[in-house]
Amino acid sequence: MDSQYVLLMFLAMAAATFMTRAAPFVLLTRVRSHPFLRGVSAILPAMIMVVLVFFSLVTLEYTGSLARILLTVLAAVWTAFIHWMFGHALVSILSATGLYVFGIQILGF
Amino acid sequence: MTFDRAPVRRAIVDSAPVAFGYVPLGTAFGVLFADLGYHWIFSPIAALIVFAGSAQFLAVGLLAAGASYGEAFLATLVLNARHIFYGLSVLDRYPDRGWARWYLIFGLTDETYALVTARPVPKEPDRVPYYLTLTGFNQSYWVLGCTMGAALQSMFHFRSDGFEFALVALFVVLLIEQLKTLVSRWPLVTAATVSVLAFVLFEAQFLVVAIAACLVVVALRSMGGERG
Repeated sequence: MDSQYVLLMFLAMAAATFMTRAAPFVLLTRVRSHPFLRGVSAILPAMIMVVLVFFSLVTLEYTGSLARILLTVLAAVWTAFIHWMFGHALVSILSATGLYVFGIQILGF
Repeated sequence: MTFDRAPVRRAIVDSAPVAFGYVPLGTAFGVLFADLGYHWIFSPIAALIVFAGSAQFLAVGLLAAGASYGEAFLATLVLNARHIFYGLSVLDRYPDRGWARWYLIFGLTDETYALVTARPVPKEPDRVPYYLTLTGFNQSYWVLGCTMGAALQSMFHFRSDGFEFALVALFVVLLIEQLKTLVSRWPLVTAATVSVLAFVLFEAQFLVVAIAACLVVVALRSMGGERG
């Protein structure tokens, strides 16, 4: 496999990640108290998360079977429910992933 | 910088819960990454230079698809755009200059952000050593997980189908966290509608289009003078 490709891909992603983390420190020191910015920062992160949940769901692999679709929906609802109830990120993520892996590898969905 | 043990010890204790999240999640990333067939050493390299869970999981898909560097850059920018809003609430806590400032900014992950904002600012001169230790330990857990997962998987080749769900679960968890402070429901309905439309109309550039559309809607609403 091409080492140069994977290294440059990670460098591109490292640059983008650092830019998003540094942006408020570099750009927003003067305008941070602007009401528009405060309004946006209260709403936009939740909207972006909705988009990302949708995006990650549609990029999963689907076999075309109804069982796989139901398993995927069940695992997503499970994550939300468990996290809403207990608020432990690790418990939510690992139990949901475990459920999904179990459905695929053991039950053959 | 004078070296004082107390803030360092406190930061290590405070960072411990993050280990329980970063080690297993890093391991999951390492396993998925090793399955692509690259040398396992690139997994800890990613943990050292990228240090972003969701972006690294996304990288697995991008590498498998043979995406271009530009696509990887843009996708990561969009994916991590939420950090722009995180940084706002940490601005006053972090030092104004020096290498410590830039390392702390580099290491401002979801979990580090959560810890930093959940606790009162340490008294001087403990502030900078406390934050540095906290961030450094968090990153060391992530590097450990990414190394273990990739190294073990390249030796034993476990069956890893389904591990990719960790990314969905991560986003659902982050969404639930956001919902706790959200007062109205229209942003969720708007974002869901925009997602479906963008997916149907622009499948390939779906992510960028959907997030840009969300930005436009929020900007238009706040210019209309409405408070939401």
